[in-house]
Amino acid sequence: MYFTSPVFFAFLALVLTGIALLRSQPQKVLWLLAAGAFFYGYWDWRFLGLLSFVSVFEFWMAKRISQSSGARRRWWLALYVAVNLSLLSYFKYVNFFIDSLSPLLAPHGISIGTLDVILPIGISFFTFEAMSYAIDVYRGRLEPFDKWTHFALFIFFFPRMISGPIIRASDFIPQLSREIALTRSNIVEGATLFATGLTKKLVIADRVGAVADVTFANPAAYTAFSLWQGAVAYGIQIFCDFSGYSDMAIGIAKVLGFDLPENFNMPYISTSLTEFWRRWHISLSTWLRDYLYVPLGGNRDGAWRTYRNLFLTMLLGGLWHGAAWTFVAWGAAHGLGLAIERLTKDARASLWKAAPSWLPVGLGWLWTQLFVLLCWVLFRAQSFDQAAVYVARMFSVSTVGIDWAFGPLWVVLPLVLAAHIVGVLWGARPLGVLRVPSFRARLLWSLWALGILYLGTSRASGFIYFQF
Amino acid sequence: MATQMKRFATTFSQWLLAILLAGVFWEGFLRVAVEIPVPYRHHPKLGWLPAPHAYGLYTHEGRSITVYNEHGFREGPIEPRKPGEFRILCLGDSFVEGAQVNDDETFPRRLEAALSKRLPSLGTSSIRSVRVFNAGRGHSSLAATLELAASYREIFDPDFVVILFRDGSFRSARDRDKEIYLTMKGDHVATKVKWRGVETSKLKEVLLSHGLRSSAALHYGYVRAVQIMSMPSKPTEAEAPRQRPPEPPELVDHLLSGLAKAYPQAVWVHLPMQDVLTGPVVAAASEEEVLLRERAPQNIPVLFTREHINQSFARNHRPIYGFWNTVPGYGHANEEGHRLIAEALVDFFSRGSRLGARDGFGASSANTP
Repeated sequence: MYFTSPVFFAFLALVLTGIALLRSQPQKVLWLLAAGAFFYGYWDWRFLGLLSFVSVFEFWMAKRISQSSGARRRWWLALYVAVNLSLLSYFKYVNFFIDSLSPLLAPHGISIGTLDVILPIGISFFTFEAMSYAIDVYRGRLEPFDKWTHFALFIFFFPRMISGPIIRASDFIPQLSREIALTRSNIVEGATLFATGLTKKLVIADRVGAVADVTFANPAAYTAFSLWQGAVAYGIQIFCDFSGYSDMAIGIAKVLGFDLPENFNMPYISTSLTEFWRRWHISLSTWLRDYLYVPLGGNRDGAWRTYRNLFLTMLLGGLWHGAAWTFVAWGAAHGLGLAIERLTKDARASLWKAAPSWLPVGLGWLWTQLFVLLCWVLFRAQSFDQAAVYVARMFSVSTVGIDWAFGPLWVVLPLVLAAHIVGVLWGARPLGVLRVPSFRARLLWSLWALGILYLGTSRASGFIYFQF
Repeated sequence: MATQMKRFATTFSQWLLAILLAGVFWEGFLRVAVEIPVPYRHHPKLGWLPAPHAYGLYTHEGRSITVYNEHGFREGPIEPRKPGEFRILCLGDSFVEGAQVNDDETFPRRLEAALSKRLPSLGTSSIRSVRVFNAGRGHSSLAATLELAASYREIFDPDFVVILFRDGSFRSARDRDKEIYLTMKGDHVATKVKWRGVETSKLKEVLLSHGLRSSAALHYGYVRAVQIMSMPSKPTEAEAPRQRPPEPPELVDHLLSGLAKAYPQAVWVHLPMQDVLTGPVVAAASEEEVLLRERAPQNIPVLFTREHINQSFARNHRPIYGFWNTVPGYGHANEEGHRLIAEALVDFFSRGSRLGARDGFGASSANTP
């Protein structure tokens, strides 16, 4: 169920009431486990079996890995990774592979149909989370947990079940050692984050989304000016949609007394792609770094291997986002961009030595944002053809086409910029006033809540990252 | 205990006051920056219409001030007919009313201005002035246009009528959400009338009945709350486009022959949709075919605007739907759309005048006092 839906608010109220009424920690853990099962089953109860299997299998496998050594230990890990990747491949990529193979096999008279596979929502997230657990156990960084219920709650913890942030068992399960309780400070902090996310989603993302939708649907019909607006609108939409969801997830978890990792940190102020990936979808970036880039060799085996590892990591990161070649190309483009940045690092440093400090920063910001924006076109496009038309027309001087100044974008853009400036200058401090129990805080809360009601769209669409 | 009660009362009253103040703030903000809703009244003959002399600020598409006359139409006062005055009545739904564009940009106003200017060159000596009435009603349908014909004739006393058809007009005439709709009873057509609030709400009605003219924020909040409550709660499979069955021929025949009888001196104007997602060129709509087929026995001229739209788009690449605060190709006709309809009608009336046929001034002028 969507965080923005009335059903979810009723569900959340019930969950919080349960937490307030239950006395013992095991009862609360079971209650949250049941809540997670209901939350996920509300979408499609048939996949509860899959999730239950994942929670039992991962828990059991981690124990096996921990209790074995040498070659046997490696075999257990290989089996474990193979099962996880098979699950992900079957549910998420089987039709992608079939579709990609079909044109190659067709000339030889071989025809393979497609399978009617429903993608379990959030599978990319919970598979990665579960894998990190057993891999950490294999590496000896983590002892397997004793209680299955604790591990199951790690899988079934509803705030982050569908779209992250990707959390690791080593960060989550130890939190169960402290009492699950509702405290005023957690509620206020969580509510602040939730309201921030709701504002990003309803007031910003869903409003500018319409601009991106029309320009991407038929880019050949628009002028360069319109298409640039569409691309910027999508950049804002995907940021506010996904970071909005993350804020809501982190906020709900906070209300329940859990800390989830930060997932976004003003990515559009980045002055390099490396910085961008430290600020964008942080939980995925760090997962890819720790479980893919580092095992591939990281930057330990010379420059060219580093470039290769960067490229491969981002390529697979792109594939993680979706079963389409445009996502793979998007990942590859970012991998290439990161490699180029690293390759030219020294040359740039010597080039800018005599220049004023703002110049490389400004140019770095421009390069990063332009690169990210053009890559978003690839990410959003339905096909390479569409992306090619879009980008070609973005740089076309032709005045033929719909030349449209999209009002909502020009209202939202300064707001997003202002929020970034406030964030850079003061961080989250301005929101601190909401945490003090005073009339001023109550008035601000009322203004904010009514503002979301009045200014938010009433036709909230699904979260973009649900599809991944 | 007493201290706790006191603390609770203080907190509670602070929250109430905070919400009230926030409401006042948003009321002001919405009224200045967002919208002023039009109050509606129930007219004994015409049903729910904007209250007499009401006004509103419309911002959902574009930004315009709408002013209504003593009957609740987006018009000036309806004065007694002047000698030599030719009266054209424009009927239809919100696409005629044109709340999204300024008053002088609606096609009835443009038509009036253009015809008045051209009058001397049209060779219609008996006609000294032209008055075009905008009787477009939001959320209305052709079923209401037909059912209310007698009232419209009584109020406007028209010499000629322009009826706007759009894609889905026949379907809309069967829409049970409309105040007046047609329904099939066996093989005969029945008209249902169920007066109720048009784009209004119970809360709004209560507020307005107590003279709370400026209920913008409360109304806005109420509508938003209802909309938010009906938001989807889980992802849904993308629905395959549903193939709608064509409207029953009996219903279409009832509607068109009824309109032809009720408004014999008329022109039917067809305004198609322009979906820029699939390509801005407007393809032939099924309604066009029906109108062409049905117009012969009725002997009513039909104006198709499809080619006008396509030519206009080829010239200036501007869709006739969509506004600065919406996306192109969606929603109501913009000022370009209204200009285009007016242009087609001016052309039609000019030709009719030259031909002396019942298509325009020629035959109709006989009715002019």
